[in-house]
Amino acid sequence: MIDGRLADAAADGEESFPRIKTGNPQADEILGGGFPCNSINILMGQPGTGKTIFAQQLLFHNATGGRPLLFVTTLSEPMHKVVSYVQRFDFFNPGRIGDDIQYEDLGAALSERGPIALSDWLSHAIKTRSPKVVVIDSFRAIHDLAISADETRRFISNIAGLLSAYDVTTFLLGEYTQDDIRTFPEFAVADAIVELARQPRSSRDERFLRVLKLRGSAYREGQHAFRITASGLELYPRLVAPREPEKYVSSVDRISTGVHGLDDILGGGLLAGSTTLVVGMAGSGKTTLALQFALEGVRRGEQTLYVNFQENPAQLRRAIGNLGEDPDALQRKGLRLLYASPVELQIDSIVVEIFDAIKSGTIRRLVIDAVGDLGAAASDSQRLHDYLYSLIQHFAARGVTTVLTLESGEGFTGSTLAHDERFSYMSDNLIYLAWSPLKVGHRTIRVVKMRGSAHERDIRGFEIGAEGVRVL
Amino acid sequence: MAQVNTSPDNHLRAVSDLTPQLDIPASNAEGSAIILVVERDPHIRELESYFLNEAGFTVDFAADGLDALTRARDLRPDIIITEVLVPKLDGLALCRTVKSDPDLRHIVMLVFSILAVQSRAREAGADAFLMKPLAEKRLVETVRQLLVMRSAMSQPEETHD
Repeated sequence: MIDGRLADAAADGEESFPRIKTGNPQADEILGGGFPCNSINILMGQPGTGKTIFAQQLLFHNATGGRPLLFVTTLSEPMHKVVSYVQRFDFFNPGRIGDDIQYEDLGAALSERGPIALSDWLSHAIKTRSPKVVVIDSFRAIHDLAISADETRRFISNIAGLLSAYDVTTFLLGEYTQDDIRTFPEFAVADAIVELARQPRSSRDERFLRVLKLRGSAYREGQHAFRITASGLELYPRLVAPREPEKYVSSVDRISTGVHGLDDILGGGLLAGSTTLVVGMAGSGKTTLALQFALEGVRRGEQTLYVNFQENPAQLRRAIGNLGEDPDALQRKGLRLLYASPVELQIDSIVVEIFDAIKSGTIRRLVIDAVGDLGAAASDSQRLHDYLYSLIQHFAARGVTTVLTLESGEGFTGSTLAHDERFSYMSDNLIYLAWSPLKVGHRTIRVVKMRGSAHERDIRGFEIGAEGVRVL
Repeated sequence: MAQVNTSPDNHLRAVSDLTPQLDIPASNAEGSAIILVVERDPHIRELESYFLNEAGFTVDFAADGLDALTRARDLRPDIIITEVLVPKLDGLALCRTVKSDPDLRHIVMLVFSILAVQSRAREAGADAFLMKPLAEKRLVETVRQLLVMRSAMSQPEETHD
């Protein structure tokens, strides 16, 4: 007989979790590889958050000939607008419209016949067109049709049954709110729920993508910032701490700070791969000290990244010149300057930029001046601390020696310490700079903490001269 | 015409390899073929029925395993396509029963399930296994190839006996 000869017939059934890519590598990364195939997915968010763009980017990415991809509009989104706007994006390809991507407007049919028009259309489309992907925009609009809750439930159960029976991946778009998740039956049948949100922040809005549910798959939790550009959604996946912190090896190598007298009170210099927080009031010399640390690295032939949010490039070049160095020569030797205006600063994009720079593995020294500016740019401070903590873990794992500066308003008071505690716990070393405005020229420096090393605990005086900070 | 699988899935390469030299007219192999589908899900029943009818097959349904056995004896189908999760007698038990019954064992058994149980299906005597969801091209091609293969295999068996 023929049994046993078909052992391989089901091989494709064993690929337990095939994915459909979104056309956006960062979104795929957040989703653990993409949306699961043969699934029902909800893209939710208020009008203008980018749902339609995200869905269409996915369609154009997956339009590779073969089975068609269908985009059907219902009551809230006029089809001609959807098609008209999509042409502005780079991913739009007119050659794909028609055979590969088919747009259809069900608005009139739904108004006339109610939700049954959608289930009939779906059933017919499956039988006659073999769609690979179906996008329904907006699915939430179905709830606006005058039908009872019971009818809605039966309708959605029927639609879900049909879509689950057939080899098709479905995206239901809608202006859903958090409350809808608990009450609307489509959320119970959804395999994935992705929320796009827009939050006002001072003079501009911040957009976030968040995965609320993804059946059978790991995904990256939390809010991932994004912008809408001509290429579609430009996403900044939230940085998470490295998975293998055990790779962290404490170094005994000492790194010179380049600050006269400071290495001595640090027990010979900073430990390689450590993170140092330099705290002080405005004008206390933090930037000068941090700059000296960076320039010392360049002098020693180490690739150095200097991130700053206050001095613009011209101001910074002047500060470097004041320390007797030629900024152009230093940049040729390996100094990289990264500037973002604190007004325009978007924490997610700058963190991604810093992370990309250190991922290359060549950066040995890094300065962030000042982390407080990141705090001011972050819409929630816990998120900033999570970010910084993750970043610092990545620095440590790669042996990058880091100096972070932080402006304190009140000098060495107890309240400042409490305020700074969340910054200080994530740093190995803590240096306080102070000066008294009443007593001209009286500046002090104190090494408060130095993990894994003996150090001097006394308060020492220092001065700022032509060569920068000089510990007395 | 031999139905050599040309789909990119390659999921039925074993079948195609077995029958490369055959040239059985499609009408002989499948034209009058009767398929008994054992399935509870109304959506899958509707779609299976639609696609198999469109492909030229005659389709009948059973809602559970025992009903399928009764119908199989009356109907003498060419193929039984069964889900594993059906009441009274599950799809795998149905395979074993059919394959151990001298009157029914010639019926081709295709297990088409939501469960990834290909090796268990094979142990139960199934001739092929397909994983849900339903993709019409894959289903129809599998059915066609099984029919071609059955025609090819039944000939030497009869002369041997």
